[in-house]
Amino acid sequence: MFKNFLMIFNLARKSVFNNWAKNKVIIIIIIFSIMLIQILLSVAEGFRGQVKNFVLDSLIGNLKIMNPQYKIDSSIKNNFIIDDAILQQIADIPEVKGVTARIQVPTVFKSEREIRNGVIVGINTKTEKDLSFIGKSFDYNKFAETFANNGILIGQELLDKLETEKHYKIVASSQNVNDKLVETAYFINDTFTSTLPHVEETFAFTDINFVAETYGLGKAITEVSIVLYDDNNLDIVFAKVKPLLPVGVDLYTWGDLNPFFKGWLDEMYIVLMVFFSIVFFAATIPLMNTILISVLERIHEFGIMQALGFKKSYLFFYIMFEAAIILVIGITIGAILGLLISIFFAHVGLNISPFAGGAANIGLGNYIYPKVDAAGALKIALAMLGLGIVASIYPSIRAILYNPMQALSKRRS
Amino acid sequence: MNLIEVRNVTKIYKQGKIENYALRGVSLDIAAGDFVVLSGPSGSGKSTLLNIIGSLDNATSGDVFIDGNNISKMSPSSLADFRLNNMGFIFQSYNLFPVLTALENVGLALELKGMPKKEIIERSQGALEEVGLKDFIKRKPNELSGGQQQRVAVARALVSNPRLILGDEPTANLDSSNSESLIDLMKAMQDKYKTTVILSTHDSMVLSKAKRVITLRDGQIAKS
Ligand SMILES: Nc1ncnc2c1ncn2[C@@H]1O[C@H](COP(=O)(O)OP(=O)(O)O)[C@@H](O)[C@H]1O
Ligand SMILES: [Mg+2]
Repeated sequence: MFKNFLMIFNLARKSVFNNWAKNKVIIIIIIFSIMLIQILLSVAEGFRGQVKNFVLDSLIGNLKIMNPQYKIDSSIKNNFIIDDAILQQIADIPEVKGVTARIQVPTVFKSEREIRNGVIVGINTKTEKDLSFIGKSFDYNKFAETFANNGILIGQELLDKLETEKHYKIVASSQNVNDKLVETAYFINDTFTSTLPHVEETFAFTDINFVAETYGLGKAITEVSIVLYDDNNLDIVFAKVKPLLPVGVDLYTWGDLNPFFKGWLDEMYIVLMVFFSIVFFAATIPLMNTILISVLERIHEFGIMQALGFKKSYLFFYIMFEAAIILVIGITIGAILGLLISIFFAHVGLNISPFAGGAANIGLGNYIYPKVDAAGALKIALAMLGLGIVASIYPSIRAILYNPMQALSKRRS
Repeated sequence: MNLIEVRNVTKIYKQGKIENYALRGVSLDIAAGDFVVLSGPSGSGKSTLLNIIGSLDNATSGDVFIDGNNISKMSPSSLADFRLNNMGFIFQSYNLFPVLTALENVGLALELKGMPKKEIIERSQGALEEVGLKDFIKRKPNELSGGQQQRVAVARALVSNPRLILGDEPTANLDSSNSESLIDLMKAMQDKYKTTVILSTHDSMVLSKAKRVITLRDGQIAKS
């Protein structure tokens, strides 16, 4: 039985290559479809990754604990107190990479020449490491030294806008928890850079304890950022963290805090899925048509095969194998080309500024760096194969409708 | 001993309301090892009878026994096996596979039988040598003359040592010298392997070489 299938497979293989002129058209259609889908998927993945990084770089993290009022009015009055023990419990959840508390204080920075709005962020020098861009990009061993004696770390862009220099003094005026204006002098001990212009021109970092004391927060903070190893575990961690929280405090996902991005990404995937379906059908219908035409042209040949002793079931598989061979050739070449092109653009980047000015303005940058999603690529290949095989059933049935005599009486093509 | 027993076979082709009798209650016996030629004017039912004996078509009524098996009662799938193991066909238009070489065309049925590759090649080569095509085994049908293609078809029919070879006007597309050598070849093979052969023809040369001639007229046996 297996030997027979092997023989039928070999016949199908010969037939595909002997009718190359006809089959190559459909193979090219499949190649282009798979390639296109593969590239779009990589671009979408890359884009999603960049949005995620953007979220992390903006100090959001995957999840954030906040006073619900803070979402409406990001003033330090809307603070909260949370036990260190609870933070430790959250940090101990296996999916959680780290937890860090912060205080964000809206501030007006004044240099000798310029005035700028910005935010002073009080960070925990120990836990911030690896959790946000500042913990990753700035040498965290230098935090303590940088923050000592009213020291502050400010964005290079903010420094430029304030038209001042490192080691100069700036004055920050903010409201404290009691709505009193507090003016504090900070020394610019160092600067940071970020790929995101708005981050670089907004934030200044210093020690959380100093901020708490200066603005009268005591043990209170304005946010706890929770960073996961993998955003796919967001729902699991959310469910684990939520019950741990004290009353008057709430838990938000990055999507809750960035509904615009979240909606954008969700929409993008819906549009992609619709588009993929269209491309799939656009490739499958000509495939079915090609196979059907080649079947109808060869009914006479199938009559000879039946006369020789081929069963109808063998003929059925003969056509199915032909379709499968065409599909596998097209899908394999298409996937390889799609992946190579994706890898190429992953290196040079894809300039999206003509299409997505919005993304650039918010700080996503003008370039998308596609990211190869191997599992997604495999799923697409299998989906195309499955759909193609289903589409070949009808032509294969057409091949076996006739008895040998009827088939032989059909004129040879 | 009779290899083939045809019993009261009728074949009606229906075209709308019109019934066209291709065979009207044909009965005949053919002995094992015979070389039988069906003759008769065009439309007399020769092809229809050959196709029904060869199990390529069903009779409207009646039975065909081959070696005691009632093939009219067998399923399409067992008929396929039956043809594979017992029958070889030679067609008027050669009916080789254009995508396969002469050797592959001849070996196809052996592959279907699950014979080892080496034996398939040996036997197919042997069969092609016997029909005088030793030097053409690698050629595809379109690289062979009509006479050569029909010899490949004979080799294909012979290679699996069938009990029965059926040929529907095998010489109709050949010139007279090719026709004669084809029939001589088939007679020689038939002598050598004791195969039963049934051919249909218009050709008097073929008739002259038959052991037995069955003449059909209007779907009935006129002379046997
Ligand atoms: N597929 C068919 N449909 C309708 N009538 C057919 C078909 N095949 C054969 N016939 C009719 O059956 C009769 C016998 O035909 P056939 O067996 O081909 O005769 P022969 O081979 O002796 O020329 C003829 O009248 C022919 O028109
Ligand atoms: Mg005829």
